[in-house]
Amino acid sequence: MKIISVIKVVGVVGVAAVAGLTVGSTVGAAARSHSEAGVSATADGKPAPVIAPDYPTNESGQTYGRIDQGVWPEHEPDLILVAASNGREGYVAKATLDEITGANVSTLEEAIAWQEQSDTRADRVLIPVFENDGSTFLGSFEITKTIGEQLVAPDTED
Amino acid sequence: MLAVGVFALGLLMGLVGTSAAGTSFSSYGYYTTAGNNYKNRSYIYTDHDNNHSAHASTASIYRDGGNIGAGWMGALPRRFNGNGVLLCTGVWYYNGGPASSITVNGCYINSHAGFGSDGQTRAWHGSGYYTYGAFSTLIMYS
Repeated sequence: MKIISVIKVVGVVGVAAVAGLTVGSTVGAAARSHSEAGVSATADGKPAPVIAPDYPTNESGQTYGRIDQGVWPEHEPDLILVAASNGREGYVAKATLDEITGANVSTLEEAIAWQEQSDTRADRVLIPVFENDGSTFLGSFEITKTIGEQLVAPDTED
Repeated sequence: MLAVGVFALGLLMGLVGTSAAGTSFSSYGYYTTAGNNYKNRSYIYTDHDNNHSAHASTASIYRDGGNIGAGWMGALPRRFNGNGVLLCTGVWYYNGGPASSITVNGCYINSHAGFGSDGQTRAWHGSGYYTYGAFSTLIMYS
């Protein structure tokens, strides 16, 4: 009789544990995931325009500010807000950033050539961070090497 | 009563357990460029137990089946802090040959702090590239 009671308790506890874990995992996963959403774009696929940010201008005529999500590259300010590796906030020159990160690549041939040179690239490049005057040095901003992986779909043409 | 307690414990383990994996991923963003359909996504990985490590990732996925031509897709990882200020960027990576997707990793760091990721992707439109911002991840603490 006592053995049967123990078996019952173990059974109930086991079922409760499995049920709890299942419900918890499901709710947790749902909470962590996001619903699918689209990137807004125009009919030809160009990212949809957002209102161009009205960046302030320094005495040298350079715009400066933060690049928020959705801002077109051509609308980015001349000086981009970053945090330097010493923790101080300041600005890096967009022109410098674009040159080192390969943002200036504009043709397929350039893209392939850029990729072929990836092994020769430094693991880390530091560029200067300035105050919003674009000249007073505050620290360094880190650009790292990118490690990429590309998947190839199997050829289905038989 | 015991069963209720065990259920609650299981519930707690389920809620917390997998988040210890230390990955936050953004929603997918969908776009069409030059008649080709893509989606992109940002990731931030943190590992509290591995010297507080963190890095950012970005994925670009061709959605029409098969592969897209060399150089047609690009991706850039970026990592930002809890205030949304850019802390690091990788360099652009393009598919060097026909591919169905690319995933890029960069901005590795060992630091005990909160980090997020908001990568960018590119798609060839016939005479240049359009750049698309991937959605931001949540902030994860390393």
